[in-house]
Amino acid sequence: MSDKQALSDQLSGCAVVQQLTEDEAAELLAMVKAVRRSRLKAMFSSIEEALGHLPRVLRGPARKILLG
Amino acid sequence: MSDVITRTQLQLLARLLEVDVSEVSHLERLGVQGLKELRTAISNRLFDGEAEMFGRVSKLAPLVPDVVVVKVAQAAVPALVSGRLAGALGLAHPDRAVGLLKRLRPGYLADAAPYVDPRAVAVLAPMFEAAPEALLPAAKEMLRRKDYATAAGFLEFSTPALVEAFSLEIDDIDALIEAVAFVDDDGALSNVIRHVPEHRIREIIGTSIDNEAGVVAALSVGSRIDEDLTRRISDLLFLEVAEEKLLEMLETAVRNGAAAELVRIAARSGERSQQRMKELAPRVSKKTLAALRAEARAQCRPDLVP
Repeated sequence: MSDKQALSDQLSGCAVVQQLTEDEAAELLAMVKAVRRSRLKAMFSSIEEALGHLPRVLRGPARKILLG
Repeated sequence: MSDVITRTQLQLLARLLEVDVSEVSHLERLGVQGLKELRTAISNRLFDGEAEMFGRVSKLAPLVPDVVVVKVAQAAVPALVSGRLAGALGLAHPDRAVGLLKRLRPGYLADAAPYVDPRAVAVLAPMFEAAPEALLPAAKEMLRRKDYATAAGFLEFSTPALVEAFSLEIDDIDALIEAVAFVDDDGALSNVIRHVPEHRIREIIGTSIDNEAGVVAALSVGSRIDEDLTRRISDLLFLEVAEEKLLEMLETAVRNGAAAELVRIAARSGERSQQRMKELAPRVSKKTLAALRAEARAQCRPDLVP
């Protein structure tokens, strides 16, 4: 599958993708993958930090809900 | 102004992708709408991919009272993470949205605002109709920081009642008109202007005409809104504003590359406003007159600038 097709699939067929070159699509695809990882990392690290600030009595149940 | 809006779209795309704007600037050729479509599709993809995690955080809500949420968020959660979470939490617990926003610091809210899922803003906006005071401090803070692109993103989805409240309660008219000019969808822009009370539009014209950025922003807005609105506003401009200020506005428009917007507004104006334009045009500097004539010819309305 071409990068353009892969990006189009990721973006639910967004029509603008067809105006991109293969190289541009490849770059954007890599950026989207990287930012997904970065956002998840930021979310998990914030959750860990927030758990530490919760009242003690809530920490156990909250950790179970959030992290399983 | 259209160049500014295109650059803003590039900056918003770069911010979403967490890259420097130089890494996406070659996509400028996609234009405002193309860039917005691309950004919206990427934003939707990212938020949809995080829905499961948002769902877990949302399940915590019944355990944690507002006062604790506020304390923990402001002490331990970066505003960008709170912003990303805000949409999902607001949709899952709409009854708590107003109360929480009232308690959070305006600076923290303004930091978080650029990261909220725009789809959630559209759904949540009506909940604040009865309590615009929950949003106003953050809105004022965004304008103080000149974060017009973010403010415009919220304005785009504001209900008529919220538009009216913002237009009346925000004192900084220069910042207000700049934020309005950043609303990139012309239909949404018309919806915003349509719900600003007439006396406030008069005040906005009276204030923005005194500074260059205000004139450029106001001309951009006036040339993009629905024709009936342009006519209403141009009558307030051409028929009520003092002659010397109008002459200065013509000079400012040309000096800042906004002659096309000015002529477009004049072309849509009522007969009396057009007459005023025709009377004033020959009295500006030669350079300005030449630029206005050229633009009027380009828009097939040479009669507007004799």
